[in-house]
Amino acid sequence: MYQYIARRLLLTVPVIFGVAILVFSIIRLIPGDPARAIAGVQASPEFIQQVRARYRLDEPLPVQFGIFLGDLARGELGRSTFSRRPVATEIGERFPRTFLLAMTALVIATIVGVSAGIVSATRRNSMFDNVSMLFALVGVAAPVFWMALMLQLLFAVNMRILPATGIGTWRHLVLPSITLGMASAGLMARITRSSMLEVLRQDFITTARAKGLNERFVIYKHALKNALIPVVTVMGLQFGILLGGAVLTETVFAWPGIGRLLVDSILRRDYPVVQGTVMLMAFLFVIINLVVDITYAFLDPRIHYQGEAGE
Amino acid sequence: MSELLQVRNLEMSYYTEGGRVRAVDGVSFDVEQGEVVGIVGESGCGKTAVSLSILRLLPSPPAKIEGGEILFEGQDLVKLSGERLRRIRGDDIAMIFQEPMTSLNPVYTIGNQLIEAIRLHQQLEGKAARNRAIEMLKLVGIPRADEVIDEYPHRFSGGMRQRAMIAMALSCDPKLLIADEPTTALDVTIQAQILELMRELKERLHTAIIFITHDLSVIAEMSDRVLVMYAGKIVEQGSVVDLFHDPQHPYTQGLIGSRPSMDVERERLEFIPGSVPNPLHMPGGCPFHPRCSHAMEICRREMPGEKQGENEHGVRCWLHLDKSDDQARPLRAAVGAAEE
Ligand SMILES: Nc1ncnc2c1ncn2[C@@H]1O[C@H](COP(=O)(O)OP(=O)(O)OP(=O)(O)O)[C@@H](O)[C@H]1O
Ligand code: SF4
Ligand SMILES: [Mg+2]
Repeated sequence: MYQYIARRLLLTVPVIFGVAILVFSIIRLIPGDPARAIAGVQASPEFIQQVRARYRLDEPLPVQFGIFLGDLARGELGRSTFSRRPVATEIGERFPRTFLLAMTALVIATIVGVSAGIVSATRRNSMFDNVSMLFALVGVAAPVFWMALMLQLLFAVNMRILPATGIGTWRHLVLPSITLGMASAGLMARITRSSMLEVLRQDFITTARAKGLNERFVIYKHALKNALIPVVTVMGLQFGILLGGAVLTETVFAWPGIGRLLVDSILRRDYPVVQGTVMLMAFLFVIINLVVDITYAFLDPRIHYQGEAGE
Repeated sequence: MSELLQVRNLEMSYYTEGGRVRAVDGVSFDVEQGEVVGIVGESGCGKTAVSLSILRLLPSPPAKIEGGEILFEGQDLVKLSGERLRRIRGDDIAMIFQEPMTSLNPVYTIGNQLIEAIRLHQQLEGKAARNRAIEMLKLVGIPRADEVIDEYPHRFSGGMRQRAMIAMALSCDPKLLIADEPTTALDVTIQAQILELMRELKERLHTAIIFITHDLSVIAEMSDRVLVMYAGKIVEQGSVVDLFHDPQHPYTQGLIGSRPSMDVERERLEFIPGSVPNPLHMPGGCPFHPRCSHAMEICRREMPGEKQGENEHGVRCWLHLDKSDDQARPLRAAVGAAEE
């Protein structure tokens, strides 16, 4: 098991490296002077000169890349050309908010989606199954801004029980996380349902029933663990999508997270911030994938044993 | 001897998109205590359908038991409540299946799956349950049982998995074991080993067994009595000796004839021509008539009843029914002439 984790960890290095090359190239591939791009549109000639010297932009590319990697490793991401504050500070301030939002959305989506999926699968074609699959479809298909407006109208304007926008208390978190998690919940309900139905057809389920185990035990012990394997993949992907997809939700709910920072920075051509944010996102995706793979190994003993058998 | 299981007029259908498939069509048979009853027939004749019906393990939908009784020690399993049926499953009646590769849950260890049945029916916990599991694994000839118990199924070969399945099935001392083609999916040498094991266990434990196979030579080795199934019906049943020495139904004769055996010359090895009928479009009358070289006019129109011979040797064929039917006679005479 530990060998498996170590191997997976090692595999993340080339991925991170690849993303670093990509981010490094973006700035240098923009037509025109990269020093000007990094310094910002309204920068003074002196400042541009400073930037050129700081990043040694006259040096050959490999040297520049070395410097870039060194900066990255030290968490030195440069300064925002808009606020003049360090990029790390900008991100550090906003990222926890996005993380909180995405995490809450994921937890809601998982609880709602997985339980609805299980019940749907075990009571296939029942009223519950039909209604919940309809909701799942709506959840996936409904546009985020429409969903957000509907929720704001209902709970904030009409019922006045939750704040419409802003941050501060847990009550501010409710509407944005529901909005954000809606699509994931729908997707997860459908994946869980189909995965569960697939597993329930397997021979070992008949074996379990033939032993005299009651149906709850058959479903929650024998079927669920197998059925969760594909669900975990989707969960991981969804978390990545939720982090990225927070952009719209953050905009509608005036939630000052990293999604909005990214959009604003792109509009302002604030390249250092864009670079930092993209790097962080890529890093997160890698971590999420790692967590997914490790969870797999816990769910499915065939995975880590396979690797060991080859050694 | 007393009857352990009595199946009476069992009717069971699958409701598929193409229509209704009568997988089991009026099947009756008995199993006595400690007896081994073989069920034999070509693929699709309803052997699995019968065995799954007994413990009501059929997928529903599409399957539905539509009639008949399955009396186990006097109580009708068809009508039993789910709770009481579960107390019989795995305890009084256990099952092993055709596919050892898929019959064990891949995400739990062999021990975990073995112990769960023992805890459920034997009221053993912790160390005692584990010891019982190890003892069972040893009984079925699994080496290093005390280590292997913590392995996951994917580390086992097909033969070892089937041994583990047998251990699981026998762990609660069932009165009846239903083995649905337990060796079909295995290599020939492993098949022989598993059969040997089952024979040995049968002698030792005196468990009644319903042994399902499409291989007559396996039946001959294992069983006391044989049921021959065709298209959801039992077409012949009797003791192994009677059936092999005096097969009465043309289908049974065909099966025995098509069995490759050492002492039969190659030329005499006959096969049953044609193939199993489409279950959605069963031929009327005797379902075997399109393939039967003895078929008569009446065979196309009417289903033959069962004739009981001596020693409970029963057969369902117009050839053996004393029918003073005009159409039955001439053909029978012709058959007799051809044989001389
Ligand atoms: N899940 C199912 N849905 C619909 N029809 C089925 C299903 N399972 C079996 N059948 C049909 O029921 C009939 C009996 O099948 P069954 O599996 O009992 O045959 P079998 O004698 O066990 O064959 P085999 O030797 O291949 O195991 C067949 O015609 C088959 O096509
Ligand atoms: S009833 Fe007729 S068709 Fe059927 S097996 Fe007997 S002779 Fe053949
Ligand atoms: Mg079968």
